[in-house]
Amino acid sequence: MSKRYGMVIDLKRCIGCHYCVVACKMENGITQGSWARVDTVGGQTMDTASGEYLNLIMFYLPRLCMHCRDAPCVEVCPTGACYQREDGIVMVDYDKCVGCKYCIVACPYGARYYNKEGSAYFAAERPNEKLGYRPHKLHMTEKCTLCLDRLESGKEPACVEVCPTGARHFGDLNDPQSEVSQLIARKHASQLLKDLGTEPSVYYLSP
Amino acid sequence: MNRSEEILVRTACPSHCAVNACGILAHVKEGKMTKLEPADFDGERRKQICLKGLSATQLLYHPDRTLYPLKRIGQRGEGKWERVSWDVALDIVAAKLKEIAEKYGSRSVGWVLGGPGGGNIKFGAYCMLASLFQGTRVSCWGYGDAAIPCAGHVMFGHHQLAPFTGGFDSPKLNIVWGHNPAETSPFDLMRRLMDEKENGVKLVVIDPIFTPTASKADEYISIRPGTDTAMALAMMNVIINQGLHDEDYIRRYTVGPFLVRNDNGLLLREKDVISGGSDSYMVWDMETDQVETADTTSSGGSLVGSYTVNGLGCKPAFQLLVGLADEYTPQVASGITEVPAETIRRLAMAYSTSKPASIYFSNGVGRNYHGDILYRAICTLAAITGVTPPPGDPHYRDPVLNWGAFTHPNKAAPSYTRIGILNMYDAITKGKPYPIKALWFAFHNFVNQCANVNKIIGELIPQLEFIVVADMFMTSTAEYADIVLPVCTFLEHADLVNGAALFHPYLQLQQKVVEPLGESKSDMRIVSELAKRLGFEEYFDKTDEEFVDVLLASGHPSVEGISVEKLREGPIRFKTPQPGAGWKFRTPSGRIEFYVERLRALGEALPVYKEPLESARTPLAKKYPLVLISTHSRFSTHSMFRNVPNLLDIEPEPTLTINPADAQKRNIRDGDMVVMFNDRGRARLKAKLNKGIRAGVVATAEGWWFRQYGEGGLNCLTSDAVNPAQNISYEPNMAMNDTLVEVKGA
Amino acid sequence: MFQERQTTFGWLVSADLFLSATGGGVFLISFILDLLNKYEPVARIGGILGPILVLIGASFLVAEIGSKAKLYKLFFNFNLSSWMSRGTWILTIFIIFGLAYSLTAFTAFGWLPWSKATALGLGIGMVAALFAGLATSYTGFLFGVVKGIPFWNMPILPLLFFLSGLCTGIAIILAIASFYNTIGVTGFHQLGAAGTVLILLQLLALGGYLEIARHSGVTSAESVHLLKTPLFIGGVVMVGLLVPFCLLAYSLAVRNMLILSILGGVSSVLLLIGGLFQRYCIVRAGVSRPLCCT
Repeated sequence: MSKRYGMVIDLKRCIGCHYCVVACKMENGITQGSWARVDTVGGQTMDTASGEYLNLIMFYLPRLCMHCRDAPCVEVCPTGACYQREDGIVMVDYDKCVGCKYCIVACPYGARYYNKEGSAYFAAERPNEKLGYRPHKLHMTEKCTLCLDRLESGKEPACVEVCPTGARHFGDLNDPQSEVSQLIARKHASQLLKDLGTEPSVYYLSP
Repeated sequence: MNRSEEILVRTACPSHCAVNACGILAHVKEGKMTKLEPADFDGERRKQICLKGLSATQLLYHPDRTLYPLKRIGQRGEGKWERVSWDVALDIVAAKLKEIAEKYGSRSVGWVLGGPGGGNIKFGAYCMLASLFQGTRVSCWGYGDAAIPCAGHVMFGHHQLAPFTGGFDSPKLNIVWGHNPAETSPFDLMRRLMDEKENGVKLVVIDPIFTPTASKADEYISIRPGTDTAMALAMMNVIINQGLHDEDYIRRYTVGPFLVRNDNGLLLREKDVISGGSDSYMVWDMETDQVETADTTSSGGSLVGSYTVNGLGCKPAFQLLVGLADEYTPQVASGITEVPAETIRRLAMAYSTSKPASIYFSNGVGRNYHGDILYRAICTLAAITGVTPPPGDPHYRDPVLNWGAFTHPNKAAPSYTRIGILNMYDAITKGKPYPIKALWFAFHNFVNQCANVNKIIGELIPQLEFIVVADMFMTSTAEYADIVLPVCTFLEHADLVNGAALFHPYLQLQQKVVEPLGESKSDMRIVSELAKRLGFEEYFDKTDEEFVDVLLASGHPSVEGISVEKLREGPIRFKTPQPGAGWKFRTPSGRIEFYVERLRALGEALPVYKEPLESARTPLAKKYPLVLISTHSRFSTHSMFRNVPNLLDIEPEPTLTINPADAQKRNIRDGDMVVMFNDRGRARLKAKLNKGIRAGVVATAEGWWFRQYGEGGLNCLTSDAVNPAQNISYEPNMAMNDTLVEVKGA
Repeated sequence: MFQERQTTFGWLVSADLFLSATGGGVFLISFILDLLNKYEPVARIGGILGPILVLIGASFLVAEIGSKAKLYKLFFNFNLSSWMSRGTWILTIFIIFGLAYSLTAFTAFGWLPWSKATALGLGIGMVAALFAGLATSYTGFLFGVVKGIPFWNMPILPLLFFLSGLCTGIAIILAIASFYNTIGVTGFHQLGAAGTVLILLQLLALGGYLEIARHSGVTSAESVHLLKTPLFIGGVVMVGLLVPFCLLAYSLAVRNMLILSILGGVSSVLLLIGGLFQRYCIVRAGVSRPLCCT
């Protein structure tokens, strides 16, 4: 059976450090935002809680593309630019993307981003930027690729590697012995917005 | 992919966070660093890096970097500069330093060295210079981190406290006291706490704010800021009353059995008892029922009771501690701390019965006027419970580097005079203990980060005849310089790097990844060039790497066999001393001194509870009712990285965290701009409502540059009050969290 | 917390939605008038305006698209399951067939081998009418299939957009009639009556939509809440529907041609403005489902 990449994120361990956010930014040369995001679940802004003392509630929810098995973005893309590989990674074919943004609206997880600004971090491009960053497709949609380049050289996605508390686990969902499969089977992992039927490849362990 | 060849350079982050020193693998193409990633380390767990380190590319190539020496034209703070060559700049500096030294004495020239983190050679360079010049070295421990050494020096004779109360293997309980490792120490401490929690070890967090760390706690205890000592004393009260203290430990390793004279509070000595006697401490032997010297007693000595020796009434030091603890029942402590009495009692029982239990703290909880006492109280709690490992335990480890070569290179002449940064204020404005007339700030953003900025700008700066700032950027401090010298980042020079020994016992070589940009230089190169003009050339005739070898040549077993050549291959774990290898408490008595003689005049021989200088229960609170705490954000190390686009994209501006009840009273909504103010100054920033902060307390992250506030800044509000007790113990600490403010909509 | 209103689509897309619906609607009504052999001068203009409006609407869509140079890919790389792909072809076929049908009414295009009277012409017209209907309602499906935004994910949306398209379509007809003044008092009364019925149906659909959405969970209720703005309540409901309804209802009792023209003209402008604002408000009120609950 072919591989199917997936991730399990342990919300007990996520401390909202945002290292994954920056690792994704640096790995992919993203200037505004990131393809990995972290939400604070509790109050209205980052690091705020809901409830009242003694029962204050605050935890962190890392978000990324779910690489859904039944992806709405693939279904709605008018040119077929949004496609899904056999290993489950949902990718953008930049030759076909026209930048209609329908997929951005159709994604229930907010995991797709429209690149309208270009790649430079500073007002003028700095000396290292041409040499280092992946080419960005202006006026097209971008998204998490599960760091495909890194996977091809045997590494894990940048967000997984950088997590300081070991909250992220990555592996082959089709292999019942893999760490991710074991975690899903033994620790009641759940998926976000399961009732929408998107069948995400990213699972969460409750906080 | 790319035609040009890519080179990989292994270097290390110089531990800006003062906990870890993450290995970095830098990718270089055509002489430019294109990206960096964590480098391999021994074991996967150490292959790590934080979001600041990952963003170092943006520090290196930041367009705002100062790349050329600058000379001030116009007034200080006006922002008018003239670019000059290194020769011109250093000629001016050398001439001015010599001139001022001649006029006021060499001590009037001071080097203010920042940190933590920055590399050992970088630091050593200035120590050498200050020593040879016989100038002043201004210690920056007092910039918020001196309370721990104050406690450490008087109680243990050691600078750091962490190993005395925490970091134990297989703990049964973890207490994180006023510390937020989820933001400031995630790799080691937080990861460890999470792993242990998964194995069933309960996590208790004590903090006025429901921090990210607190959100992971099994039990979160909200406490009134600055009152933690009362809680520790009440815990001691419970433990002693339940008989759960470790008498044997107290007898053997602490001053508990030593008799203290009732009349003058000094420890009883043999010469007080017999004429011609020694300085030996005295205990009451329970078997012989008479006083004996501490070394000859077989029973160890009584811990309680009242005795008369030679007409002198005395009590064992532990008895005095019991007397103090008796005053702090859980009820009394509850009244002070606003923590329920039952919670305190329960925690005390858990702490003393789940052994080993670790208590972790950091500098924040002690940043109030009496912060040093708090650390003494917590360490006393650990000691009397028998938690603190005895001397010689392998838990204690520190690399011993050859600092002597840097702090006193010319043994034939006197070295620098050391002064704490808070004491420097009076040295500048009042000439006490001696005048300081010129300052060189190296990797220290004094004007932005230190207490009472309006006083710094209004009173200190005008009194300084010459100011040099060596920094990467035009910081708030550099704006007031006469000469600005461009320093390169850690990616542009070599150095020796290590993290905090308890968490990261490695030495690493920081290697040059790219050539220094513009005309920037490493601090060691700058000092070397200046040294030529001051006649110290012979001491600086080495490369940065050769200096690393000097530093490693301490002859101490911990660094045996480690050299630059070996470090080029990768990080090396320094050797921990064997058990019993001469490690001991370096107090006068050789024991844990929870009773400190030299603080008795101030009534602080024991870890007594004293209310913070500016608390909700002081008269000032009528005018300024809110306690201001400054937190340490994950997005910066002090003021470093606050100008980096990656991180500004996530958190673009300073915010003031305020409880919704307090906000509503003041008609403040989430996201409104507000002004916080007190008699010392003001700051304008955005409000962030959070139910997780106690009513009566507001918090903001330190490190934001003044230009990033709407107006003013955090340290316009903090106080430079000097605690005389800390001057006795070690060095006075800036009590950043001992600040009252009021807040209103802007 | 990820419960934000969507900000990707705004005025450009709303303009396209409005124009394609209006274009489809006006063509449909014109075609019906043709079949009933009524008001030919008005119907022929309506018939030609239909595809033109849709074409203008498409230009807004093109403005919205990021990589305009790759526009052709929308046609040749189509994805059958995508409503945007389907819409591209629906609009294209409508424009072609619509123009083919309507241009024959103008002497300049007399050389075309069919006319509205011939079977071929009628056949072309029927295809055009079918695609006009689809053009009016397909955006309801485009938005309706977005599972993550409960406010859009409602069965009634295509019907609502269809009715709205007919309303704004008849508004164009009224505007043309008011301008050209060739349909007489009876004509105005008939159009006015049809208009009032369509507005009523739309109010019913809109009211039903909002009421059910309010009770379809927290997120869609939040969307409905976001509509409590002057733009929607004032612009869409009052000015865009209720006022024209009243004016048109009143006009049924008026016999003065001038006043009828004015009433007709004003109602049509209000209906059109209301239709545009309605699209915009619905587009902007789309709130995504929160990813997890506290």
